[in-house]
Amino acid sequence: MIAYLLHKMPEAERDSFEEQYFDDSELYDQVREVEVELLDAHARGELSAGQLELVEKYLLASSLQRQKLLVARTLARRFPGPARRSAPWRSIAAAAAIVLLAGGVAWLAWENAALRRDLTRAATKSTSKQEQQVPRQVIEARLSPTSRGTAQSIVAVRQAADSEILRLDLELDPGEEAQSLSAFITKDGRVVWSEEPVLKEQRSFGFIASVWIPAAGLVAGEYEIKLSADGAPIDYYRFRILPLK
Amino acid sequence: MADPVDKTKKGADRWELSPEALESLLRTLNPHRETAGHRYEVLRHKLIDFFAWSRSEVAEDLADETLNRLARRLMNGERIENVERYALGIARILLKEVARKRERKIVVLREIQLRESGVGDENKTLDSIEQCLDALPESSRDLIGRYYSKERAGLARELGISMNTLRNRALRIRAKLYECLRESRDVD
Repeated sequence: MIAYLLHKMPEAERDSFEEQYFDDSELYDQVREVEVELLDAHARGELSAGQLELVEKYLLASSLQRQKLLVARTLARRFPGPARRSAPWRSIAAAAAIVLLAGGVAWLAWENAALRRDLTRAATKSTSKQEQQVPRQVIEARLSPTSRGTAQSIVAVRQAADSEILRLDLELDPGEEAQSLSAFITKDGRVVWSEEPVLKEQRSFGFIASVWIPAAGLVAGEYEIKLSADGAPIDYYRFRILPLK
Repeated sequence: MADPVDKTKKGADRWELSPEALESLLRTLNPHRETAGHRYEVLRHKLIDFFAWSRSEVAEDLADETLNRLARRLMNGERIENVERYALGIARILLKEVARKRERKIVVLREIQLRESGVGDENKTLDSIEQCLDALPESSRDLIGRYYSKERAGLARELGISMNTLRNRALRIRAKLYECLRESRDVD
């Protein structure tokens, strides 16, 4: 949704997304919520210089939209919220991502890095680069690309009732880690999440690209992830969400 | 049957929404009047946001023009299965039609009116927003304040509602503020 609002979505997908929210009022409400979160972040000075520029260019192009920003400023002034350490937008994006239902689109990978920090505030993290203690609310799964044709290419993930985040580690082929990657997650042909760029990490077995998805919005069923480099697909992954216990 | 075309406007292609045309549109949206009215308002808001998110300066005007054209087609006997999708199609065409050049005319006209606006005007708007906030029911003001001041998942648990419901409530309160501001702007 951030990609849509800030015009980072390819035109064909933009058209499709517009049709979706015109048909689906719940999705429309989610887009409005993301707009509100962006304007609130602007009002609270939590956007980076780059994001500020994009928000001002694409979300504040009319007096109607600028009045929405003034509402956000008034609310920020009246209800300052808890003090934040260097209050970055990514903390807001992390909190917003948790509450948004499936259909949200994450925009920057570093926002997802903040998602890990801020959404699981009570969790502890190891300082080790290789291994991290997984917070209680995070469900992890490692996926191999379907091109390898392995039996584990479709991973089944069962959510726990208290899970907030699904972290998918996508195994990369050698050389892919050097490219700028983006990921689109679809279910029944509909994009439910996307990230660009996707964070990469080195593990003992090779490189992985991590995608973090709010678990609340994921319904049971099969999903596909399209991993692209510079806009061109390079790998596909599949996973299945099993119903809650 | 009354002619739906309002001839008070110049130009043969200038068509305004008559009561009969509006009625036809509402009936198409839903046979039940109240449901139709709600669906009309939701559609209108979607159109306004569509144009605003497409960086149009005159989103409300274009949304109304879209609905005018939609109603006109219904009055002309066109059968429409999915009204929302059809409206989106009209909106896309309108967006292309308008283009920068024509919009600029409207924007320039508005800018003439707003030329003196600046800090003073913004302060006036901020005052209006404060008044709108004060005019909210206390429960709404309390909720929106706690929505910002408190960890939201905890607030939802405390209220015994889902995050989705909490979010929708906060969004509705926000929409009331936008509406209140718009009304105060129209009065001025």
